[in-house]
Amino acid sequence: MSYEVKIREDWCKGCYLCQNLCPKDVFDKADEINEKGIVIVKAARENDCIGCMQCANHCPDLAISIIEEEEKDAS
Amino acid sequence: MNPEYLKYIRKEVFPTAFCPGCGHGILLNAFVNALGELNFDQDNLVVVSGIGCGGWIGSPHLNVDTLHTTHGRAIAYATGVKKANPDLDVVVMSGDGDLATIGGNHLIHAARRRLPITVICGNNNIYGMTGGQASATTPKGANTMTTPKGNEERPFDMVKLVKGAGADHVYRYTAYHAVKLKETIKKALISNEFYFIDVLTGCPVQYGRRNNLRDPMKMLNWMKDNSEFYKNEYKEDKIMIGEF
Ligand SMILES: Cc1ncc(C[n+]2csc(CCOP(=O)(O)OP(=O)(O)O)c2C)c(N)n1
Ligand code: SF4
Ligand code: SF4
Repeated sequence: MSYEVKIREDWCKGCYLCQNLCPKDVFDKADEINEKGIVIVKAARENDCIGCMQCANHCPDLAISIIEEEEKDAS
Repeated sequence: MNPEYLKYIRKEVFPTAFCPGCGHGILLNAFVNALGELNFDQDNLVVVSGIGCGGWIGSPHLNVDTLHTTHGRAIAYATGVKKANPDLDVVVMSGDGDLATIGGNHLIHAARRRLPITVICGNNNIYGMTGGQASATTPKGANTMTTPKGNEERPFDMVKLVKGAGADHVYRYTAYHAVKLKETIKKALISNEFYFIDVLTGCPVQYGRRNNLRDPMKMLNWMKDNSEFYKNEYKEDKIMIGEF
């Protein structure tokens, strides 16, 4: 099973709850400050996501969606 | 958030007006998840709130009929809505300053009457919006703008208060327990009886910065480490969570 970790960048306020709660250390802080002056998060290790939903369920701004992807064809 | 559930929010007002990491947002998240998982009829739902950051959880964020009322009086307005049209699903969602302090009278009488509505208290133990004054749920010893040497008064325990006033369905969770909270909100939404859910949301800015919990994750960890599921014994030194 693989997952897309979708972050609505214009909704993220940089509280970093997702980064702290993720059991697989999927998130990093972004490299740059955005136009609102916020260092948002990025899904730096999306392939490690196990779909536990800790991040999505605790995001106070509803900015994270975890989307199950079809198993990629191995061949 | 499941993209299909975004129909329950007014996307144009996002991100929320809350400070980064505000627990009221986690309660909002759980509420939207509950609506989504139930595929709840959003045209039949009225969410009523009073004044304060807690009053903003439902209004303007939820894409349902929202009624943003005067300070402390959300339950009084909700009573009118429910009496006028008993077929509507009515939820009151507001802060501890609003529901327990200024509007405490309405809360105990709604519980006594077992009014068929759901009341969710976004309880952050403080008046957040106005700068952090002590409320009726501020713990003893806590530092606030109005209790700089620590709160000398004892707080209301919302669970005991509402149970004591006659309510049958009384719950408490914290923002850390977002999934349990969502399940309880679902139960309340499909019931036509009085439900009360005390949700410790945590205000990292006005409460946290004065009580060494400024970091939102530190606040959630504090909730996690200090809470315990209620079984038979109600422990005074713990945040008791679950069904009471
Ligand atoms: C009648 C009246 N009195 C006082 C106020 C000022 N006031 C605005 S918000 C608020 C406190 C709200 O506290 P709470 O319900 O705990 O919400 P929070 O902001 O902490 O989420 C107060 C006292 C008001 N708006 N109206
Ligand atoms: S779903 Fe779980 S594993 Fe995946 S990014 Fe979120 S917290 Fe990490
Ligand atoms: S003041 Fe407190 S309750 Fe209000 S939005 Fe900020 S963190 Fe949340």
